[in-house]
Amino acid sequence: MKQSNNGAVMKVSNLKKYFPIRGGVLSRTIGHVKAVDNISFEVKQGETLGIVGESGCGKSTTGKVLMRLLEPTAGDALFEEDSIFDLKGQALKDYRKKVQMIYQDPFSSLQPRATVEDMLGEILKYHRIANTRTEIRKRVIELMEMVGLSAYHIGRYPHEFSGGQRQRIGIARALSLDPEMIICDEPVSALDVSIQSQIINLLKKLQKNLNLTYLFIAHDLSVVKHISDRVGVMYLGKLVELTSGEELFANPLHPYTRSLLEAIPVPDPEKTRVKAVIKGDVPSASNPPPGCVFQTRCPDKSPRCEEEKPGFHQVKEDHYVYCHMHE
Amino acid sequence: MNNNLLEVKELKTHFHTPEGIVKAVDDVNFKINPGETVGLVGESGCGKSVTSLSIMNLLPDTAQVQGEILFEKEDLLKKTQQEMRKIRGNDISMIFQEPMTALNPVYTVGEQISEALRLHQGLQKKKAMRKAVEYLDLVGIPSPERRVMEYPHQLSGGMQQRAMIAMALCCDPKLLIADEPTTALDVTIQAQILELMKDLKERLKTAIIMITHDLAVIAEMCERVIVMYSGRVVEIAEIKELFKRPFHPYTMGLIKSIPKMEVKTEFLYEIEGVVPNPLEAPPGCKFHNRCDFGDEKCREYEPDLTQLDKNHFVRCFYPRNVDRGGVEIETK
Repeated sequence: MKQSNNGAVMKVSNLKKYFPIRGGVLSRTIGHVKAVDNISFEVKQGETLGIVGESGCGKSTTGKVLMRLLEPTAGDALFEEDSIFDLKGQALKDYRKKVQMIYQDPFSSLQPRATVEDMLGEILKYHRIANTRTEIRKRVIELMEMVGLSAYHIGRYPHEFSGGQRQRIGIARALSLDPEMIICDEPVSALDVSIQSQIINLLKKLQKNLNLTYLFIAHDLSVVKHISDRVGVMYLGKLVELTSGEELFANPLHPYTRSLLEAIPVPDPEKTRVKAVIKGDVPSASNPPPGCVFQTRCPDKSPRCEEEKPGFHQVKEDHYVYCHMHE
Repeated sequence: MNNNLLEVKELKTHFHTPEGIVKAVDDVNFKINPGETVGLVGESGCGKSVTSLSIMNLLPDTAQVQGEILFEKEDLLKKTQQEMRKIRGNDISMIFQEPMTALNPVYTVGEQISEALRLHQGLQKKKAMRKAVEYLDLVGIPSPERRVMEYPHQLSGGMQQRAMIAMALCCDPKLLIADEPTTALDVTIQAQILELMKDLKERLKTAIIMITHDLAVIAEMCERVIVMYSGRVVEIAEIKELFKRPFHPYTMGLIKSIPKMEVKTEFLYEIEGVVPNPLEAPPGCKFHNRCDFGDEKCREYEPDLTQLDKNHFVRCFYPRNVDRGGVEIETK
C-alpha cells in the first residue's frame, strides 16, 4: 500500500496470523485457520481507525497481534519506526506503556478479587510510574475522575459496579500508563444503548483532551461510523475495503460493505429496509473458498472471482478495495 | 376488548434474596391481540425477560409471582406444572437469546424438534421426523434431510437460531415469545433471521412478543411497543406513534441515543446516570434521577400508567412531545 508515511503512528504491512489445526494420532498440523490473511493499513496520529466485520473475520485477532498478545505468522508492523514484533524485554514493556487495550467484556476483564485501587496500583507500581502509597492513591483518583467516576469508588470491587461503570474502569486502566494509542476491542458491544452512548462520548472526549490515537474494533457499523475517521471492513481474514468514514457510507464499493450497510436495521418504522439480504453464512476460515473470499455470498460474482484472488486496489485517494470490479 | 390472546394484569414478580426483596417486575399490565407483534423494549435489568419467564412459569422457586396472566381467558398462574407443560411449546413457545446454550448438545436437531411433536401432537416417531424436516425447510435450512440428523455444534449460529425457530413453531403456537432472538448474531445473519420471522408471522399468523433492547429491531418487526424501565411499564404505543411522538422522557432518550447512520454529530445523546439498584429503588418515579424534566413531585410520588391518546399510554407526570409542549396529568 503506497501511502505517504507522514503522520502514521502505526504501519501494518502484509500481516498474517494462521492458527494451526492439529489432527491425527501424532497431532500433526493438518491445516490452518487463516484468521488474518495478508492485511495492510496505517493508523495516523490522533485519528480513530475503525475496523468492522462479523464474528470470525479476524478483527480481534488483529488487535491482539498488534498488542503482542499473539505472535504473528508473517508480516510486519511498525510503531513509530520500530518493528513491534522485534521488541523484547524493556523495549516491549515500553511499547505496552505506549499502546494499551480496552477489552470487550467488562465483566470478565477485571480481576474480581482486587479493588479498583489495587488493580490500577499494581500497574503503576510495575511500570514504576508511582511508587509510594500516597502517589498511587493520587494517580488512581485522578484516573477515576478522568473517566467520570469518583474518588470514593477506589476501594470497591468490580462486582459493585454496573456494566457501564466497569467499562469506565477498563478505560481508566488503559489510561493509567498515559498511552499514545489505545486498541479498543468491541468496548461497547456488551453495553445497553443509553450506556453505550455514554462510553462512546467518554472515549471521544478523552481522545480530544489527551491526543490519543484509537484502533476501534467493533461489529456495529453505526457505532464505528460515529467514532471513526477512517474505517476498514474485514471479511474472513481479509481487509476488503478501507477509506474515510464519510466515503465508506456515501460510496461503499465492495459488495460486502454494501450488504453490511443494508443489513443494519433502520430505527425508523416509516422506512423499510431494502430487501437485499445476503444469503448464507461466512465460510469456515480453515477452508476459505479459492479466489475471492466473498465469492460464495457475493451478489455480483463473476467466473473470474472463483479462480483469481483480487488485489487491494487503490480506487481514489484514500479509498482501497479488495475486488475485481474496481481494478 | 374481550378477544385478547394474552392479558397481563398487575403482574408482580419479586425475588427474595438475602439482601432484600428485588422487585424485578412491579405492577405490569398489557394485552396482546391474536396475530399481532408486540415489542418489549428496555435495558438490562428492566424486567423484560422476567416478564416473559413469568408468563411461561419458568422462574425458580425464589420468585414470588402475583397478579393475573390470562391466556385465552385462563389464568396461567393458577395452572399446575403439569398443565403448564401442555401449554409450553404447544400454545405458547419461546425462542431464547443464545441458541448455542438453549439447544441440547447431546441430541440431534431432529430429535429435539420431533420431541415436541410427539409430546403435544402424539405423532409417531417417523412421522414426527418427517414433520421436523418440513419445518427445517420452512425456516430456510438448506438440505434439511441431512441437517435433521446433525447435532447443534455442527450448525452455525444462524442455523442454530433457525432450528430453534423451527422447534418453537412446529406445534403452531398461538403466541411466540422471542427473547432477544438476534442479539447474539451478526448483522447480516440478524437481517436474515428478521426477514424469516417477518415472513413466518405473515404466513402462520402467530402473535409474537419480541423482547429486545434494540429499538431498530423493534422498528422493523413490531406493530406495538411496550417500553419498560426498572420493573415498570413506562410507555405503550403503536410503533409509528412511539417514534414520532414519544411521551416518556426515557423513551425519548432511548430514541435519541441510537447512533444514526445519516447524521454525523460530534457527541451522541446520552441519558446520564445509571438504572437504580433494584434493592434501593427510590420512592417516586423510578426515572426521576436521570430525567431532564423531573421535579419535587416526581421524587415523592410515582405516576400511574395513564392513557393519553388512543392506544398510547404513559407513566409520567410531565409527558413531553413537540406538539403539546408538555401536559401535566392529574395525580390521584
